[in-house]
Amino acid sequence: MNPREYDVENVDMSWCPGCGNFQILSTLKEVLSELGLFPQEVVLVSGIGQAAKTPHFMKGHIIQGLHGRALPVATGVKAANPELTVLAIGGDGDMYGEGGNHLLHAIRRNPDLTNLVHNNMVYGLTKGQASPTSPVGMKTPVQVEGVFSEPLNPLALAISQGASFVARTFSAETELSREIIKTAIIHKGYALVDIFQPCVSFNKVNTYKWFKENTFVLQGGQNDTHDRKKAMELAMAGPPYPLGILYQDRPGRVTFEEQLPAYREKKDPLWKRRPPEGLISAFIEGLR
Amino acid sequence: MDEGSFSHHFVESGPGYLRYRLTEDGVSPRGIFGNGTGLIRIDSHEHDESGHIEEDFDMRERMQMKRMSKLKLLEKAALPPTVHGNPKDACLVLSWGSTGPVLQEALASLGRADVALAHFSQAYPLHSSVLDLVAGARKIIVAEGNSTGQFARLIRLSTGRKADHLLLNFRGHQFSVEELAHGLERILLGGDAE
Repeated sequence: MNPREYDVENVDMSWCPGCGNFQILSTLKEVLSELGLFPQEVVLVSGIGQAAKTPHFMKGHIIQGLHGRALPVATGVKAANPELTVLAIGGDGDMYGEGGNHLLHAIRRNPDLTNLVHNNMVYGLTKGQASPTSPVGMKTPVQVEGVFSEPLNPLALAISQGASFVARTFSAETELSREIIKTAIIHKGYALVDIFQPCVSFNKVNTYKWFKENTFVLQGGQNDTHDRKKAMELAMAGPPYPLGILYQDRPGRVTFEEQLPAYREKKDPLWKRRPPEGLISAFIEGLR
Repeated sequence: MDEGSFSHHFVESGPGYLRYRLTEDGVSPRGIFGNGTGLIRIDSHEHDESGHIEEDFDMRERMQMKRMSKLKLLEKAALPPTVHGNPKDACLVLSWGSTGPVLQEALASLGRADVALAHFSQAYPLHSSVLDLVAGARKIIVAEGNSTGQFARLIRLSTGRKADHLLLNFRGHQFSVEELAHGLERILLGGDAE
């Protein structure tokens, strides 16, 4: 399939020229078309932020909901229809800040979805406040004396919580991103892909050059992706920060939706089933 | 809206499907992911009919009017209050939630035919019949468990009718039957008005 199938026309683009989001967007379109998925089979769920606008700039079903709430909504979509390919997309602020609690519990539940986090280490939509991954010392219009809180380590957090798939890439490493996102979508279970990405307008510390100089791509054989302890070591390493798949469960782990009673006897998505109308009507009438 | 049927609460989405299609009553046909060829695009930001993020002023106005017309439908579908006694020209006591049964017992102990009770198990939006209900009462008393008379304010905001008396309890526990009976008796005897 041609990635152009995922293009939308006549859209006002709200991203700055040079933003890493453009590379992530085109990589995502390429991956979905390479996988032979039609936009009708894909649900893109997001919260608030510039990264969370990604679904608006491509074809597919979308839900752009509340700040930080992409993961519970995406989990619900997958639970209502396990046949769909579901992605939860957002930035470091949305997913790790507002959505931090949801992240913890989405990892534990292990729904079969892909969580893309565009990590530019700053709140870009609101013009440059420190995010949960901003480095100590970074000055912003709010953190005028510099950030003093320790940045969150999303990969170590995810691995410690037993995440099924954990990877990191860099928006400019398009080949690597394509391979990782593709593997993450194919992987059955919760998959976190943290994507380093420069914010050309509001992060003057973590620039293209900074990411280039402070990352390295893990070579084949450099890590055993099924070894959680080794993965933890890689997640704690840096700078320079390793890019690649840090951890991946062996096949066979059960997902959130597979354990739901609704799918014990039949696999049909919920919309295909007829509700017990008589029972529901009687219940509602009983309340009047 | 077909109120009687649950199985037709969504449609198969075809090409050109619009999740927020502007309609007479404000309700757009609801598509479900996986059912049909049309893309279903849901957005919490201001959007156009297709669900695309959009801040056009005219579109914004149309979408807001659409939302408000759905409120009209909700007012019709809202649960009406349960009325005990004849509220016409009566002293009508309004309550909501768990205050209701206590109040009912307190009123029974008073044994007054000129006092009626309306209990709301849904506080918002108010059912469209509430306007006539409060307009027809001689006197309105609101009994509720907070210090500011929140429901009395809502009644005034929605109907224009100001409560004549408030019976409030904000000591951190439910009203007792005796407490309510005593409070009502004081008001009915022409005691201290709020």
